[in-house]
Parts: sequence; C-alpha cells; structure tokens
Amino acid sequence: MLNQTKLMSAVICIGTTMMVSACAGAPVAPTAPPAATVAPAPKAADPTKAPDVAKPAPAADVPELTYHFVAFKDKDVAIIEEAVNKILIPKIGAKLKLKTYGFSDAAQKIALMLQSGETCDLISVGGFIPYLPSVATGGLAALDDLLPKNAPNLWARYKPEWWNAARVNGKIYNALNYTGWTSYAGFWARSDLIEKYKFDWKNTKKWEDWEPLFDNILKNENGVTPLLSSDVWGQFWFPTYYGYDPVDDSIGSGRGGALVGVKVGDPNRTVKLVLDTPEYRQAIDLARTWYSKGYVAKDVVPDNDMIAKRGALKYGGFMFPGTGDFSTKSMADAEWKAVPIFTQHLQQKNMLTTGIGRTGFTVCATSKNQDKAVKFIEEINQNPELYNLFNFGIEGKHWVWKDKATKIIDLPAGVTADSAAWLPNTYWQFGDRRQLYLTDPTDVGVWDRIDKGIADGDVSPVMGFTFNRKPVEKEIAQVNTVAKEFEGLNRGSADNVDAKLTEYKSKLKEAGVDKIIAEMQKQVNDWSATLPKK
Amino acid sequence: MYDDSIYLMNAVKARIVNSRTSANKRAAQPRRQRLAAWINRNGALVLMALPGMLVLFTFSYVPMPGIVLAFKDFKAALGIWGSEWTGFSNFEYLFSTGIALRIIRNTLFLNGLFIVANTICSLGTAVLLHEVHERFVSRIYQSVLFFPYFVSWVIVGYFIFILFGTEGGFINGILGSFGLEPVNWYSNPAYWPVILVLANLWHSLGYFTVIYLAGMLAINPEYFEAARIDGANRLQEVWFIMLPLVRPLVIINLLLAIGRIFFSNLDLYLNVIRNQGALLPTTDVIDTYVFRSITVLGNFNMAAAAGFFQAFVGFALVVLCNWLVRRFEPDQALF
Repeated sequence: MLNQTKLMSAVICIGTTMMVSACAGAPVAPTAPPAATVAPAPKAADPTKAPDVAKPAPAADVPELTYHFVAFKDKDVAIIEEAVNKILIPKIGAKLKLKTYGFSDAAQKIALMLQSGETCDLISVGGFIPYLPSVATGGLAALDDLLPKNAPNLWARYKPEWWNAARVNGKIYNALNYTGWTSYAGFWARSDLIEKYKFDWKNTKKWEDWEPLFDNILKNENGVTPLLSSDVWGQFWFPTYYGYDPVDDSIGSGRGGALVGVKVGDPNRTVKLVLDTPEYRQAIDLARTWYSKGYVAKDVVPDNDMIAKRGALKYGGFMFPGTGDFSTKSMADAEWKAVPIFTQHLQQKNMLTTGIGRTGFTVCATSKNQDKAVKFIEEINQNPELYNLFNFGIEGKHWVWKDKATKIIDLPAGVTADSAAWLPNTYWQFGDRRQLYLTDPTDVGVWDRIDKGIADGDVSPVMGFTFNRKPVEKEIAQVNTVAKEFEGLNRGSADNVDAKLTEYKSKLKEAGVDKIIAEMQKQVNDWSATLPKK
Repeated sequence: MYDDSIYLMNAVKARIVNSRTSANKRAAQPRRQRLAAWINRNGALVLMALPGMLVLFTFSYVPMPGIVLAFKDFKAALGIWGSEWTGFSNFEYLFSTGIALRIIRNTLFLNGLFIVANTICSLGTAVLLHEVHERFVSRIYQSVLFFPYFVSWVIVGYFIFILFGTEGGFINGILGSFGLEPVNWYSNPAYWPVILVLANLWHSLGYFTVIYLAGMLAINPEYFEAARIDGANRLQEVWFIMLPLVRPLVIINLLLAIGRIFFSNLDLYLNVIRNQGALLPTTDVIDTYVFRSITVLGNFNMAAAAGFFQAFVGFALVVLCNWLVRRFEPDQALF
C-alpha cells in the first residue's frame, strides 16, 4: 500500500509537472494580489450577472450534470456531492453527479466513454485524462461561443494568446485552469545531504555547479547514487533549459525532450532538429561526463524500482525539467521519507508554451446542458468555498484551519494523507488555483513569485500552436524507434559519442525525420500567418 | 492455452470418427437410439471440450469483425462502420522503411531460434527422462523442470537482471574475480538473442518435455523388447523407435508454433529487455514496435493492421506447412 501511494504521487508529478509544474505544490491563498499579466480571480460573482442564477430551485427539478475527474482518496464522494449541490443549485440551477476515477485507468475509461458516445457533461483534463487525445475522439464540445456567453468573468481573465493555447484546429475545447504556469529545469535535492556537506546550493547557476556535492556523496555516502534515474527519468536533454520549445513531446523516445524544437526569440520560427544544435551536444557531453564519474547508476532501473529506492533514500537528488515555485512538502512527505527537498531553478527564465492549454475543464459534445456546464466552470473559478470543497472536502470533517489569516489549513488530528476520506490531491483539476488554501506556510506569497516569473519570462514563439500529427504519423512511429535506440546518448551510457551521434542522425533521416520537420514548419508557417501583425 | 484445447479437439475428432464408422454398421437402428448411443459414447468428451471451445469462440471469433479497423481511419464519433475506408495505408508503416525490415527479421529470427531450441532440447530431455526408471526420481525431475513455466516473466526479468547487471551483477562479479573487465550487458545488443533464447528455453523446457515424455511413455514396450532381442543398442532404440513414434506430436507442436511465428511474447520482451533502447537492434519485434507506437501515437488502426498482418501470414504459413507435411507424410498432417 505504501509503495502504491509513492507510485501514485510520483505519477502525479510525472503527469502534471510537465505541463503545469504543479507537482508537490501546496495550496495557495485566494487572497493573492492580481498579477500584471493575469486579471484577478474575483472573490464573488459580478453583481450584474447575479440575478439570472439567483433563483433557488427544488433539488429534484434541476438538471443533473455528470462531472468526471480523477481523485486520490474519494471515499466520501457522496458527502462531497451533497455539499457541492447545496452551494451550486441556488447559483446555477443545476446539480452535479460526481464520477471519480483512479489515476491509472482514467485515461482509458474516459476515452472509451467519449468514443462510445455515452452521455456526459463535464470532464477535467490534464496529465491523466490527456486533452489532445480526448479532443481527437470527437467527443468534446467547442467552447468558443459558450465561454463568452456563460463564463464572461473567466473569459476576460486570461489573455487571448493563452486561450489560443487551448485551440485545436482553431477551436477551443478547454476552459483553462490557471495553475501558476511557471516551470524551470533544475534540481530537487535532499536537504539533509546538502546541509551535511555545507553545499552552497543557492548560488548554483548551471548543472555543473552541483559537482562538489555529488563528489561528496560518492565518496562518503555508501549506497547512495547522486542522481536519480530510471527508464523514464535521467535523460539530460532539457529543451527549455537551453531555450527551446519542444513543440510536440511525442516526437522522440517519449522522455528527455522532443527531437524537434523552436528557439526562443527566433522571429522566423524555424523548426530545428535538436541534434543539429550546439546545445544538444552540450547536453549529451554533460551526460557522458557525469555517467563516467558515476553520478548516475550504470544500470537503468525500471521506474517502479526507482520509486522504491527513492523512498529508501538511495538517491541524492533529481534533475527535473519542471521545478516550480510551490512548496515541495507534500512530495517530500509522500516520496522522500519526509526529508525536506530543496528546489533550485537552473533555467534562467520561465517559458510559456502551448502546454498551458492542456489542463482545464472540458464539456462533452453529448451534454444536453452545455450552458449550465459552462456556468459551473465559471462558478468554481470564482467561488473559493466551492473550489476548496472539491480540493479538501468539508471544514471540520476533512480539514481544519491552522491559521485562518493566511489561509493555512491542515488535516484534522489523527488523519493522514493515507487515511483521508476525501483528498483528490489534484489542485490543477478544479479551476483557478489562486483560490486554493495553503498547507505549507512557505507558500505564503508564492503568487508574487509566480507572477514575476511569468512577467519576466519568455513566451515561446510557437505559443498557441498545436501540431497536427496525422499527416506524418507513420514517420513519427519510425523516428521514435530510432530515438529509443539512441537514448543512451541522452543518458551518457553510450561511449564514442561522436560516432553514435553521426549514426543517430543518419538513421533519423532514413526514418523520415526531415518529412516531419517540413510538415511541422509548414503548419507553423500557416499558423503564424493567421496571427495578428504586431 | 489454445494448444490444450486443440489437443482436446483432436481427441474428440478421433472419437467421433470412430463412432461414425461403428454407427454406419448400426444404420438400421432408429435415429433416436443412435443419438442416445452417440451421446453415451462421446458426451463426456464433448463436455470436456466445451469450455475450451467457448473460450476459443469468445476470444477468437467474436472480436473478429474488428479486423475492418485495419482498413479504416477510425473516428469514434462515426463508429466502426461509419468511419472512412483507407485501403492499405495503415499497413504502410509496417513496411515502408528499414526499421520495418528489421522488426520483421528480428521476429522471425528470434522465434525461429526459440522453436528450434525448444524442440531439440525438450526432445533430448524427454529421452533422458524416459531412461530414468525410478518413478519417484523421474517425477521430481519433471516437477523441477516444469516449475519455471509457472514463474511470471516479471520475476524472470529480475533473475536476468541479477545475472547480467552492470554493477553488482552475478556474471560481472565472476568476471571481476578473474581480473576481467565488467561487461555492460544491457547496452550491447549482440548478446541478447542468446540470452533471450536461454531465458525462453529455461521457462518453457519443462512444458514441452512433459508433452513429449507422455508421448514416449505411451509407446508400446513390446517395440523396445523386440528391438532389444534383435540386438539394438540404446541409441538405436531412441533413433529408430522412440523418435519416429513421437513425430506426430512434434509436428503438431511445430505447426502450432509456426502459426504464431509472427507474434511475440510481449511479456518476455518487456520484462527481460527492461525497456533498454540500446538493445533494440536485435530485440525489437513487431509486437514491441506496435506497442510503442500505440502508447505514443494512440493510433489503433496501425495496431489493428499489424495484428491482421501477423495473423494472416501465420495462417498462410500453417496452411503451407500442413500442405508440405501432407505431401510427404499424409498421416501426420493436422488437417
């Protein structure tokens, strides 16, 4: 059971951080000041909009919307549903039927539901119920008209270019959830080791700066490998660290960054094969050096084994493509034996990519009450009570105040994350995260850091572009096999880097990578022609 | 599992044929009586075959219309029949480049090795076991050999890892104690065909050994006595009596294996290879390739096309081999 929990929380990390850097994140106060770039999350509905939804209706008469989402602990779902409907019926004149899913089977079940044309109303998409495949089933409704009409506050809250990130073939199917879109390639490392060796981690600027700590670990900590790696993790090509938007993660071996990329600040939006860039060479040389020094385990362990070993503190730290601004406390508690984990961003600037458009609420094409469904989306994005009810459950029963002034809460005495009766543990699912109560005091003020990160950061030149893979699917299948074969370069386990790289390039060409790049370039050009001229 | 049901079917078929000939003799009997006699004679066997037949029907025949997906661009909203026909374009990715060639070659090569190694080794082991006359000892040998068949491939994967791990692996430990350099087994594809054959052999040796041993034990001992009286030695007994008499079994097993020669045991590949990209040149087979493609691309048409291709070629090969067998040994042919 314990292992399963660890696996689960790791899965949450893997599933979400790539897009929203929400991993291990702790909740956030709804009182955070509005950012320059983000319009404020209103505390209450706009009074001018209030009358049309104010009429309470008897529970039996109002339409019922089914809402599908994933949850870690969902034993008390019936109680939550009742409490939710108590709030919701007077506001929007509809009630919810909650359908919760486990993390591992949600994607399949939802895909089946959408494909079979079974009636549904609302689905939260994200790492576990992926957005693009869901759109591809044809089972989701386009929200381009529904959002401005039924969720005007939410619609006005985000910039048009952010909404563009949710577009697929020109249509928006996803009502974005703002989850604090900052993410930086960097380190998560064990505080106990850092303190033991008095390592000056706060002043590290690049990967290489960490070598003294790793040398100490290798020399003095028997059985501890400095860097965590597995068949999923431990590849050294981090596109955003080197200033590339990977555009489509599915082109490549599945992890360790895509094979193609567009460089930040490139006005022509040239799609490049990353193997041709000097940055890629830099990354694989670093991988080889570190592998040879023994910072990485020589054998690639399966992900499950890695998770078990991490729980047993057999690793020093974690090179992670998307460390965020939120506290890592809940991750540390679940996965690192509660040893605090320090976060150091090594990537200089945050980069907003199309990935922000992949998390949020979607409405089913089969829904008979699409207007009401979108009204619910509006409500949960501006009603902290409703929002936190979904995230934490009922006050006094599922959570208690620790410090009401700073909106910090805790589990009731005697309840742990394992024994909780309601704990979805998925803050990215339910709307604007700025409404979320905190569970770790270090997160007070996190929204200032996030807003600054977004304001100072880069915006990818292909932000808002989604690649249509259909015309080159066969080539992608071939290219991915080649990428898998040469994964050793990204891990440092392949000797003779020069020869391998040359062979890698020629095999990729043979598999049709040029055709993929040409197709993507064409789509990017077509897409950028539709952008308003500055 | 299908192997068993097919044996059973053949047994039933033989009995039915027997009863038919005897039924002809009793043609004068009224129909109802004949039916009662047939049920009396074969009822138990039919009942025994029923579960196997049901499984075969449910899992092999019911989903068969799904084959059309291989020729369509499946869109959920349009349904299976409403989706657009695309001809053979789903098959292209299996054949269009060098990688396609490599996966087909690997599939055939590895499965060929498995079949040859399994057949030769299990026949050899069965011959040796047949010579063990102490029943109790023979039973122990059989159990020991059969046991690995029940070990999950996940665990076999760990066995192999313990043996071949780069750091702390058993074999590298031995190499080290002789002062030799450790070998990074998991990044050198050349070793893996051998390792896979050994792992597969270890896993399934007992299964086939028991089948062949059963066939050998069913041989009438009078043949051996007669041979001995004629002065045959042990090897000659094996070569001229034992092997020819188990040949039908060997042929059935070979035909069944050839029918699945384009399929691979995904369990074996996923667990033993441990997802090591560097080993793909010798270990990437059709199934692993399709599996990877679906998990990344989510395109089920491609998977359906690959499955259709595997089944079709397998079927053609069985028909061809059976035809060959019938040409040279009509009595041994499967159909």
